[in-house]
Amino acid sequence: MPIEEILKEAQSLLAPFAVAFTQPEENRVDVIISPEKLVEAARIMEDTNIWYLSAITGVDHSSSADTTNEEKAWQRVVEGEEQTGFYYSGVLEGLYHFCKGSAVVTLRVRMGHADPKLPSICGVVPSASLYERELMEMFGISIEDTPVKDHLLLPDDWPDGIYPLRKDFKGFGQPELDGGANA
Amino acid sequence: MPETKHSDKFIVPIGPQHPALKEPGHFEFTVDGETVTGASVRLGFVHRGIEKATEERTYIQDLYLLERICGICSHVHAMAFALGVEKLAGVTVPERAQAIRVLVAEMERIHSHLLWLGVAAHEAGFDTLFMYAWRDREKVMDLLEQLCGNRVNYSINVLGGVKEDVNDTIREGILNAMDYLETRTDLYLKLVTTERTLIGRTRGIGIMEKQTAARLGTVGPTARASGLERDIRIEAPYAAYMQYPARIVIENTGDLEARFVVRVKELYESFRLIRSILSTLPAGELTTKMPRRIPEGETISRVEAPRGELFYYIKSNGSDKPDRVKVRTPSINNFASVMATAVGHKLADIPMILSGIDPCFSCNDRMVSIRGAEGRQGVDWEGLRRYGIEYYR
Amino acid sequence: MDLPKTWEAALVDLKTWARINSPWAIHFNSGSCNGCDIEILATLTPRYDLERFGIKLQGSPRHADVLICTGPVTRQARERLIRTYEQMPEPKFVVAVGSCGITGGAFEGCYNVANGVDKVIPVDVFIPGCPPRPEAIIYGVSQLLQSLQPQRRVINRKRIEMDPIAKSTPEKQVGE
Repeated sequence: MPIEEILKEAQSLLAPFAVAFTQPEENRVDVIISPEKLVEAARIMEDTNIWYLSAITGVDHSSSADTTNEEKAWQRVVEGEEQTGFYYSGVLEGLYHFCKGSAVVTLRVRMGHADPKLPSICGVVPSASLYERELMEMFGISIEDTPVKDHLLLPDDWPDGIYPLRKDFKGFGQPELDGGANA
Repeated sequence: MPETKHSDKFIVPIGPQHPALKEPGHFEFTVDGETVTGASVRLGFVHRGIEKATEERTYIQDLYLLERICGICSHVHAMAFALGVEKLAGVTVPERAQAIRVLVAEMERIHSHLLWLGVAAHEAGFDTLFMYAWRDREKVMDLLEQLCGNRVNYSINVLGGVKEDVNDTIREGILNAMDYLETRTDLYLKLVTTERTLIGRTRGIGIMEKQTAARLGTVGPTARASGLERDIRIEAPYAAYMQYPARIVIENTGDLEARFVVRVKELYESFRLIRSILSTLPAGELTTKMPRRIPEGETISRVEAPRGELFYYIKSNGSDKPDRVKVRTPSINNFASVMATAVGHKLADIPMILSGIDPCFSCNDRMVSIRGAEGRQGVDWEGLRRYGIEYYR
Repeated sequence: MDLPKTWEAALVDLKTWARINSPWAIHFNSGSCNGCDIEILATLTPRYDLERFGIKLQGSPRHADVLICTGPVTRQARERLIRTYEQMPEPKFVVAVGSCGITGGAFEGCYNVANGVDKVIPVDVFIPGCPPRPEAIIYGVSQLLQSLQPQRRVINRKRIEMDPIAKSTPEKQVGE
């Protein structure tokens, strides 16, 4: 099946849950989703038995985030019957990558700074547990109902409340590397 | 050795020193008598904060940093990163460079599978095979050194192509070595399918059904041994795999023996690919010009490492440093399969099941711990390995 | 061996001779990428064959003379490394393999890394390289063993007294 058809099929499966679709590359479709619909969308993808969860990425968009509309981070803008646009703001983002062959469908959920929360998809996709642990400890996103909450990568004596992959973490007094900025 | 007389369940923590695997990880297995009833993993010993470090270094510096995530599969990490950044920059890499990348990737697959074969044989107590496999592996290391300049961490990738070229001496050397290794691989295939000591430790052990493998997200030879057809070189060809297609190697039994057989048969496939590349290597340049600042965008780059699917997500922000690089290495998926298949097996099988997935801790840095009732006994890996060997004697 | 003066000195000489001729080594990975580790394992394989020199790589720190350590020490591995070092009986020697063990290598400045083995335990021999070839590792270990010989002074450690008879014949010393 050519890749456009695969992606269209995925889009039609996810249409009831998505806020919007974008296509950043020819083999990828990004699906903007709100946290409430995340588990259902993951279930739909997993139940096809062909798409599989390949990775969960966390991103901190501090440099480019629009923080003015954080409460409306993922809402549609509807005029009459038409959807004319959508808000998509918030500093932290979780990307759930589902793959089939060379096609990648990514479910994207954005959260605000203050209290980032996500539901766990471990009930639907059991292999997500390790990825969610990493997301929690690296970004401070709170995933309440995930089965295991221990630190995955960080050492046991890591101080609470410090999340290494957030942009405001600069290391523990190590001099920042001058990565050729003056060249 | 775990005392099985007076307590019902024991936690057997193993690690973080693995004299055999040479990689630190922490496993905890809950045992009820002899049988494993639970497993969990805890990593963290090799966590070096690489994803954070990539944000503070330029793309070129990151190439060298990401190669050192893992010494065994360093080329595929660099290749995945380079492919992703080239896609973001919108440059086309010359065909000769892509072919050389695939050539080195297949040679890396050979060296990794031979390394694993030796280590897994050592786990089973079959040290002769360990010595044979590693001696034959030296041939591949010599070739890689001749081509790239280093035995391990052969950084032949640059952003935009490759650094070194294949000349006639190197080509002859590689072809001769492929012939030699093919005769040796015939011996290895015979050993893993007919040698009594190995089969006793691998046949019928660690069985994972195709459905379970799919549900747990297994990738790589571990998945292919259960009949699951996942191979990025075939499903989503990258670099020169469109011109030199790979063929999938599948076994359906799903036990440890199948995992051995899949990896040995993949060696044949790699020999075939290397010969095919060398006979029709396209002429051309080795590199193309790359911009210093990479335009804004996001990309996903997936390649087939010797252990399975390697997933890279790169986000650029228009400067000469990446905004975010996410690396999801294959062993993390396969650890879930260990935790599932270990349950119900004897403690003596644990070393073999663990090495059956070809774990690469430095790629993943995960810890496994097994929950148990009361009682906690410290057993080091060497002790457990000897226990396994003695049990099956 | 020249005849020593007391039985304690004789015992020390005997132990040293045993240690030079057949040191038992233990390998510890404190967070390395495994490049150095597979080169260390490669020294045991038929091509380089470290065991014919009497060096045995085994698993328990309580029986080891030499600790071969790779990796930039990560926070989690730091405690285990110190504990392993303390479990070794005296005299003990530490070999740091790879550029990660010297300064942290490619990972210098990362948040989870202590930037080198000598920030955690005292090191006798550094073997640079990323990774060093097996020949380089064998050379480094043999340098350590040579420095144990009674006529030479050991780098960084005061080990064996200079035999007074040998002092009269000038011997090439290992520099500080």
